[in-house]
Amino acid sequence: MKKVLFFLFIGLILISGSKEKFKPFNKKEIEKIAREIKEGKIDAGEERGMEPGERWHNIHFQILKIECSYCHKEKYPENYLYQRKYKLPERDAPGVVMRELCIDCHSEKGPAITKLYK
Amino acid sequence: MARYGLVIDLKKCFGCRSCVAACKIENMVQKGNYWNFVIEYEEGTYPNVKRFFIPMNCMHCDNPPCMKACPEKAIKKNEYGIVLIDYDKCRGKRYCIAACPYGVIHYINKKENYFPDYETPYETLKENLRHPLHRKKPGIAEKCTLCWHRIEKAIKEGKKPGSDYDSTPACVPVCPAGARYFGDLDDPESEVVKLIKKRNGKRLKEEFGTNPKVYYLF
Repeated sequence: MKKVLFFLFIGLILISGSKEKFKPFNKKEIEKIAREIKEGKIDAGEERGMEPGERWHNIHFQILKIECSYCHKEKYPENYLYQRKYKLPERDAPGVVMRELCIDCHSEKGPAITKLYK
Repeated sequence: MARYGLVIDLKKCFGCRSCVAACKIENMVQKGNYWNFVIEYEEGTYPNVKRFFIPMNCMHCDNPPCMKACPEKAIKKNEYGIVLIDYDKCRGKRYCIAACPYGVIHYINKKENYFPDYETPYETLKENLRHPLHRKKPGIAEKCTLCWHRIEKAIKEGKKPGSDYDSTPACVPVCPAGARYFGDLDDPESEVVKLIKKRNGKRLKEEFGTNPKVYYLF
């Protein structure tokens, strides 16, 4: 019984912990974070680059707490039109990224400061 | 001002990759990278199966996300709507690669010859003899230029781009099926505009709002 209660307790911690992580559609919160990064109130690092530890991953993973598996998938769908789809990631990336995920935040109506898409 | 683009007839394309080879040779593209590539996939179950060949190169978007993403401002859209990378400014941060929804930008990781102990005539060509868009080096991004070196030369010579072999992007005239068309998208009399209207030309991933200048005829 003690064991059951112990694992139940651990499970509850894990669930509550993961809830505190990334909320994909909490636009107001993302907007606030994006503004603070832009103003320099949140340090995202100076080194611009795609590697973990550099600004890109610092913003998306360290600050926004987006889990790796939210962006990185095992492979593209068969009919996915992406020219580099057959190219394996150069480093030990946990999988490919479908850019459709980026639209929510990086469109003109999205909360990100960098408006990449209309 | 003209706004150049491509139309690709997918009913004619049979995936021979002549466009891929012509592009590689014309632009001395780094081994392992492709400015032009054919994506293929199948749909359906036997005996009702369809095979699709989709040639993809830079879409030369009117609203290019790569240009907005570049922290070095190394990507520019010229007055003819052609999106080009300035290799002198590029620092290889790869933000453009991450932003492009079509996956058409490639990173040059290291200088690699096509053959281990031999340099092809293209690889031995000195930098000062190359067009600036062919002066690539490791640690930068590269992509299709719509053969801007050809278009630029045609304009300087007073020729209409697309009017003959040398003033047309290399991938177009080599297509044995005649599936590729190049022309001015702002000229209502051009073949490309007529085809887009007649065949209801579609662009890829319109949901991104990038307004690409490569149209596909299904």
